[in-house]
Amino acid sequence: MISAELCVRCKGYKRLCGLPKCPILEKARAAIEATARIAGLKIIGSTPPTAVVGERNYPSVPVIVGIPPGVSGGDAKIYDDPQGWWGKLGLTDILRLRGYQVSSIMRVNVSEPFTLYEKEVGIAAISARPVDTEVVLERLPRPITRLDPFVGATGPAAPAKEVRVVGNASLPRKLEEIIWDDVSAEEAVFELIRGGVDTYSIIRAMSLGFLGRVRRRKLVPTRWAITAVDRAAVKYFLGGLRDLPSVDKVSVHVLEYLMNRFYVILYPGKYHVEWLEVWRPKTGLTERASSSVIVYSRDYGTGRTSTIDGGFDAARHGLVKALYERGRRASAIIVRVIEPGYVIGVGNWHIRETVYRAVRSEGLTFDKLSDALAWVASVENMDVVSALKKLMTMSTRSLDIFAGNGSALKK
Amino acid sequence: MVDDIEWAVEFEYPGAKTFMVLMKSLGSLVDEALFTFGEEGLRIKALDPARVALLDINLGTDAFLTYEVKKPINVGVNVAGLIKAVPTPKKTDKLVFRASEEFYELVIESNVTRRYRFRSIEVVAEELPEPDLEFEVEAKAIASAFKTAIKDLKGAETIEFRAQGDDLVLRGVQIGAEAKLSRIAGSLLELKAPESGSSERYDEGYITKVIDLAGHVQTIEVRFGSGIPLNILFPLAEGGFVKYLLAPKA
Repeated sequence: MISAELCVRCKGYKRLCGLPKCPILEKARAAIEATARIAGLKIIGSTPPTAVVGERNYPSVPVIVGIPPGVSGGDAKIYDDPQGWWGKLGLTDILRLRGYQVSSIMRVNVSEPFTLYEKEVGIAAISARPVDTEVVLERLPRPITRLDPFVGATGPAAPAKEVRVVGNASLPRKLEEIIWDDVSAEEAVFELIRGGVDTYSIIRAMSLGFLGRVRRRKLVPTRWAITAVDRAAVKYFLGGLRDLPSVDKVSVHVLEYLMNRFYVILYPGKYHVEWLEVWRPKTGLTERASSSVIVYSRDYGTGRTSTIDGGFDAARHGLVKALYERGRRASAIIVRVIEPGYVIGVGNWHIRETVYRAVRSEGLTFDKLSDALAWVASVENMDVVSALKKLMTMSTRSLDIFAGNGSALKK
Repeated sequence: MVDDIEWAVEFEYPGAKTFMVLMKSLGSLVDEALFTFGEEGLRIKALDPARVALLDINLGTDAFLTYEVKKPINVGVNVAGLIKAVPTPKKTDKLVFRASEEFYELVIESNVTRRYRFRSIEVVAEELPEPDLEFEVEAKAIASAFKTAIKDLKGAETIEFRAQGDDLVLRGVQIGAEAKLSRIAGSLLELKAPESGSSERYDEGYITKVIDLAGHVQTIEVRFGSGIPLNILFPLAEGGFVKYLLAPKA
């Protein structure tokens, strides 16, 4: 039997169990109805925009453009709108919307992103508004929803014979400027953040090869692009945080969305984050576990993390962005509790958005960090309490304790 | 390039490679640091952002071939940038360091002389913890043996330091592996510990950050005790010393 710890670390993506397909994702896929109704091989609608670059067969990768058949103009926006979804739609609503889109697949060599520009598919994919698109498929797609815990779900898919963009794309001004600039991808991300372009447009622009040195531009599988943008954003906001004053109180910010409850504990000090995930039994990945599975990671304060974890990257992005906007730096502990109803991941976006909104919200204040942790323990179940104890034993104490000059970590 | 700079400090250090290893150890803890130049020499103290580890580099005037201070100054150094820009020198290369209020430069003297000039940055001098500790265990060990033992426990996450009889035992808690420094084998030169023994656990990642320093010294001094930080002293062959203080795991 495959251990739940392995599944939580793998999330159906790394194939740690050695099986060619993740049995959990396969089972969930069968249970989720693809709602797209396809009458013929020609699909007409507006892409919200939805564009995913896969990584299978790299460097000849699939580029997936999603279109809700028969839905055009502004109505198509809701089919891919993480910031608009947050707090309004539930897990099944999101899966239903994604399942309604038909995914037309083109195969493109990563070194030739320009082939997408010529067809205007690339430009349509980074548009701020939905773009009317026509697709002729090679065959009828199988009515199944594709699941990816990092990127999110995509609807029934089939290879595209032809993808024709018939509407006009509308690009954020800053994005339109930067695609002509010969600067590194990281500098481009910094510039786009500074210009107020939303994270999801930046991810699509990076993924479709619009950023970076002109001669070296490549398509970037969307999973990699999400990680790259999250890490660049952390670096960008950290640069600004260093000179800001510290928060002066210990506070706990709680927010829950999609059966994921986040406790963001802020305390005075330099930027430094600890990340604790508590996967309760009977979530999609811990179906057979008898007790909670705990995942721990930390950012030492430099932006580097002790483990590679896309969820932690997204959470740090939300945290530092919110702190930057509040004009305060802080040390933080983020506890994510994943409840049994979270049957399948719908992408990392909800982690980024929930942590961001939590830090922006009014929190409960405490005198000491130990009081804040004790409060979290008092409102949570035993699994979380034991995970918090584990957190405290895994942590290294501050040297301040030994100097006797007081510390937030002093217990 | 500004050529008419009036340098407030200038020194020549015999081991350019050792100096860069010092910078890399420093850079593994902090991105920027304050270099304090005084009549007694160069002092760099840095506390990592999590306030868990403190590195104290103390190079007295006798550590340098020449050391000239026109006036004591503090220079804010972008350590991360310096490490990125300056390639690792050879063992026989000599280093010349100059600093003014505005700039600092490193000159690596070898077959080819390379000069790297940087603008100094503003680094706030923060109050650093100065624990006054009484260590239960004090050991002196062969540096290369200690370095090998730590490298062998890579991936352990937590290393338990234990004084046991005539041995200093290092145990990788998560991986169950153990490395022993003993007087009989010659890897341990001195050991002072309570008869009942003593042990404490420390973060492996934080020890690894400075372990390359052990490659540039003959012996090291290790001090620890139950519930108190680990202290490793690296007496540099060129003169001066580096003191590393690491808080124990909770």
